[in-house]
Amino acid sequence: MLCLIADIKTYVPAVGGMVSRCREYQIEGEAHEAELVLNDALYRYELWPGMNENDVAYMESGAQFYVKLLNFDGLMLHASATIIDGEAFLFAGQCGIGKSTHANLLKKLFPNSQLINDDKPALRRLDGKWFAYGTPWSGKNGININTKSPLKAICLLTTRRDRNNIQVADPLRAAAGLISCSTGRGTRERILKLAPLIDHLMKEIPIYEMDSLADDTAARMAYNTMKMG
Amino acid sequence: MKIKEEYVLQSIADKWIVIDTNSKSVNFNKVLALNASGKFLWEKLEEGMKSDALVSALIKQFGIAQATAEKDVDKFIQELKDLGCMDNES
Repeated sequence: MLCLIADIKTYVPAVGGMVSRCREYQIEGEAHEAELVLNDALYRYELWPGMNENDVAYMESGAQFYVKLLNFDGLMLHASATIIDGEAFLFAGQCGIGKSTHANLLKKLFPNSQLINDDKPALRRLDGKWFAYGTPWSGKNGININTKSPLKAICLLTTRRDRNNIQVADPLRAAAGLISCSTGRGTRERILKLAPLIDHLMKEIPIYEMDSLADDTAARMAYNTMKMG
Repeated sequence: MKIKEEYVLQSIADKWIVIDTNSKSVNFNKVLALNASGKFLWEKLEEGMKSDALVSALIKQFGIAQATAEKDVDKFIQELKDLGCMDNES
């Protein structure tokens, strides 16, 4: 099926759970018009023992998309992306660090906010400006909205959870954090494409690091600080 | 003795950072950032330059004393070995 994902005409094989996940992204057109092609003949079922076909199609199509996205000045970040007043606020970090929790706290504070992706939003740099996009790859809960918004700031959640504190991220920790949250790592060739993007991202978008109690105060603190940009 | 293929040096946010491209996740505590002389040595090592030549190159490039250069090169190579960035064949 032909989809528009992160403003890229993408061919997604109509296999497994991707049919329903991609419905919101589907556009009129023929497969040959695609700029980015995902190939189900290359899905590595043997890599995911015990997973059903739906899950394998999800993982493998995502894996192909984020590698190819690097060719379009884009990357996928392991993050929760929320739009508030037309700008995207991201909480990034490893699994279980509290990304969704913080997105939910924002939702409570700002009922008009939109959670556009709770797992792997896409970021693209277009004419020197960064945008966050919803994608069909949105984790277990599947929460995603097919929309785009200028990227305001990224907050890296730390493992420290005994206080609320947000600060401009130390550049080395920010670089390490962003690379480890990026989904296109794994080979030399990919890192050589990813690193210049991360370089731009760090120079053009405010990156924060936050120790968080994951309460209302934390969410307000994160929003107020990130908003200042 | 050479730097392993899977380690790359990249400029990110005005820092020279060594990235392990094989690693599943980048360890926050183990990111190696290099200064100007570290970057210089890294690039020479990538070309396969040996210790003696590295010392001479460092002296030529930065105008430092022989003893200092020897110490710097030894220390740098040891650090890379500790991090596992070096192939052991000599």
